[in-house]
Amino acid sequence: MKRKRLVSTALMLGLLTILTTPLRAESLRILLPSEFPTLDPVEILSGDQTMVMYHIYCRLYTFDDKMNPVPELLEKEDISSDGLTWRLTLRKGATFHDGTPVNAEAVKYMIERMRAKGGSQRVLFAAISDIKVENDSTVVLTTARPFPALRNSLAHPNAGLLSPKADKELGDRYGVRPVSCGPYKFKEWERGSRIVVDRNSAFYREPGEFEQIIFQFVPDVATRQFMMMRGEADVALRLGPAEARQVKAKGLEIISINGRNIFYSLNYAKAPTDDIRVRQAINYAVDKETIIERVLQGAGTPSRSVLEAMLWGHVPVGTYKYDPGKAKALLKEADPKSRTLVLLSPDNRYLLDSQVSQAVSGYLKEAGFQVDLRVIGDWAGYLDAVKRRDFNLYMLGWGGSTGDPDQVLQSVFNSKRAGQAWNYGSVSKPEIDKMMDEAGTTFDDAKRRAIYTDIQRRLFDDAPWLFMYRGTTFTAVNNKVKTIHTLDGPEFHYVFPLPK
Amino acid sequence: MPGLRTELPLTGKIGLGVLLALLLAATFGPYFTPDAYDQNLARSLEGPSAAHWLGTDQIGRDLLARILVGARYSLLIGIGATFFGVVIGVSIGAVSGYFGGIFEAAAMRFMDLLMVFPGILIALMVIAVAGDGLGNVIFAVGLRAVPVFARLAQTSTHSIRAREYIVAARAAGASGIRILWSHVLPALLNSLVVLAALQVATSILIGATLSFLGVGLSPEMPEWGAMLNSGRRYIFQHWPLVVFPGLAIMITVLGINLLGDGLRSAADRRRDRGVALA
Repeated sequence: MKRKRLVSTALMLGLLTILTTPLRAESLRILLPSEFPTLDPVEILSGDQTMVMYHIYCRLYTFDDKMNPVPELLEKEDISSDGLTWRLTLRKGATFHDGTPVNAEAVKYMIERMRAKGGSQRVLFAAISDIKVENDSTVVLTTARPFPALRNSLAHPNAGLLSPKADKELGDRYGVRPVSCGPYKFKEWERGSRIVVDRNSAFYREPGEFEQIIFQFVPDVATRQFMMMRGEADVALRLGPAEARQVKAKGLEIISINGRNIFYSLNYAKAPTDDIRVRQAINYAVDKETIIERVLQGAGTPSRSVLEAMLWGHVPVGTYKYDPGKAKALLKEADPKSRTLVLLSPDNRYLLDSQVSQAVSGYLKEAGFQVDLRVIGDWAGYLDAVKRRDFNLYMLGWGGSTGDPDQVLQSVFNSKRAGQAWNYGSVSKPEIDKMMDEAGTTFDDAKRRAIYTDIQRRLFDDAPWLFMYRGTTFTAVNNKVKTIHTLDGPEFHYVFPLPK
Repeated sequence: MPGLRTELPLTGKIGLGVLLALLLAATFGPYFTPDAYDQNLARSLEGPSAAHWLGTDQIGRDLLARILVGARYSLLIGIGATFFGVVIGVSIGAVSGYFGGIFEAAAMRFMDLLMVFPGILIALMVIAVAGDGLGNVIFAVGLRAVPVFARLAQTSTHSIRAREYIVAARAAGASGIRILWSHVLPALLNSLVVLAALQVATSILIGATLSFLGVGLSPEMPEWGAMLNSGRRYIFQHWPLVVFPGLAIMITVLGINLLGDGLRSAADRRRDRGVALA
């Protein structure tokens, strides 16, 4: 009897200690939906990866809240009058987390490493023809053609500077033990669970607000929601509209991000979507507004262009308003031999993606198509299926991580990439190619804007996509977070101030 | 099976009733409801009404219709997979049990190998290799049942093989296949029926688990597991999406298990009296 009481007292005491021990106020716990294989800037596969990297890495430029590139480690930028030579001077005194200096050599190292390793993001620096280290703090970049988007490329999360010494020492293991110069330094990575970063007190400007940030991977949205509501986390990313409402009712703050441009890429190399009338019919057949209202429960706005609003040069060109009559008429006029559409959809990659795909499939059937809907849950398997190009429509979300339209347009619509990433739909329009090249190499903003407007109009009319919507995602935040910035395109946040 | 009605315990009769009702509903029910694939976004997530008895799902399809059509898939997967398991498993087990030797050792070790993996894992692997589709799901779930039946058939055949009437049949010149077919198999039937009934329930559960994980069938198809998965997001907003498919799975599996248990006790009672069920 006595022993029993002793045990229960001990238990109570234990419980009390647990309950009364304050959570260390200096640490911040952020819930991310998905893990990723590496923190190496050569390859970025998801916004979640970018978010963690943003806290560890520093770059020459960074983005302001409107995705315009602004100087970060850069002190002076000097562009030659022909627009081909960029003399970039770095701030003095910045160091990597291992104590080695951030210098011109490190900039050169980063760009060359990116090219040598050959990830998908090497297009960022494709325009650079020569890199010269002039002195310790000055690097001179030469481009083959004028390349105004170089600032955006250097601000891109993939352009994170890294310690050459650490990279050489770690070799293949660098990606899981990154060493850079950002406000937080990498501490540990517990696979399948979390990444911990510590404050970098040697940061060249004011150090981070928190002693430690814990990025925890919680794939299930309901678990993220409950952890947030129970105070077990300070920030939770990518809640759905219903979860966001419930979290808000608990008095927590909700940040909504106007995120990716969600669309279905149509295949120009497979009947019947090789016919422009069929592509337009598909666009008229689907009621985007109702899908946004009923399936997404309001979490989106109709897409109005191939470029989205977070990209420079965006013009709201228009929408294909739901018109089943017109869709049927166009389909009748085109009278394709096959009316079967193969529709590929991911599952749980974008908000309610497979639900939206089912609704789209229903609308297309109403318009007179047969739809072969294939939902592929794991992302790698989905991309494999896309690469086989045996589709008429496949769903994709595009963020525009450089803030400049050049990269997005070139990788999605350039005919040289027909059949490859990300022009799997094999769009091949020589006149668009020419316009893109022209806009991508001029420094004259007015002229660039005019060309991009024209490109957006032409692409809208040619219907290379089933235009859908710009999805809204929700982030829950509690009052421990004072500073939080949002980057719309890649859909993530960072919790340190912008450079002044 | 004459006399089964009186032999079956009450719970078994309830199970049988549930199964029959389910078969009827699955066969004829969808003729009396709206089309299970017809969507109407304007009427999504509605509660029960005269037009939609159980309400509508997230894209405005009739929930009752989907559950009834779903019953077809579930029963098809459950019975189809078990049938596959019985045919292949019993063949392997009975033949290897009767003839013995190196073939028996090899076949049974291979069955052991299959048993090492959890059923759901085998099914996932098979679908990863063979691809999606109803036929592949039935094959994948059925493969898991093969060693279960093979084991049963092998051990029973082993013990029957030495019986006098088998020895007599062999002495009279009956071929191995003939003995297996007309003497060994009938003797196995009792335990096979019981095991098969229980395996149908397990197969339905595994089939539903697969589609809950988003593997095997297209999400447009109203499979109960897939319905649970897509309804999961709406559990606080619109509970019928999760509760009704869940209940459907529960009632079906419970009913079949009750029937299987009932068959077992009926068989036990008969064996105690020395009568074969068949």
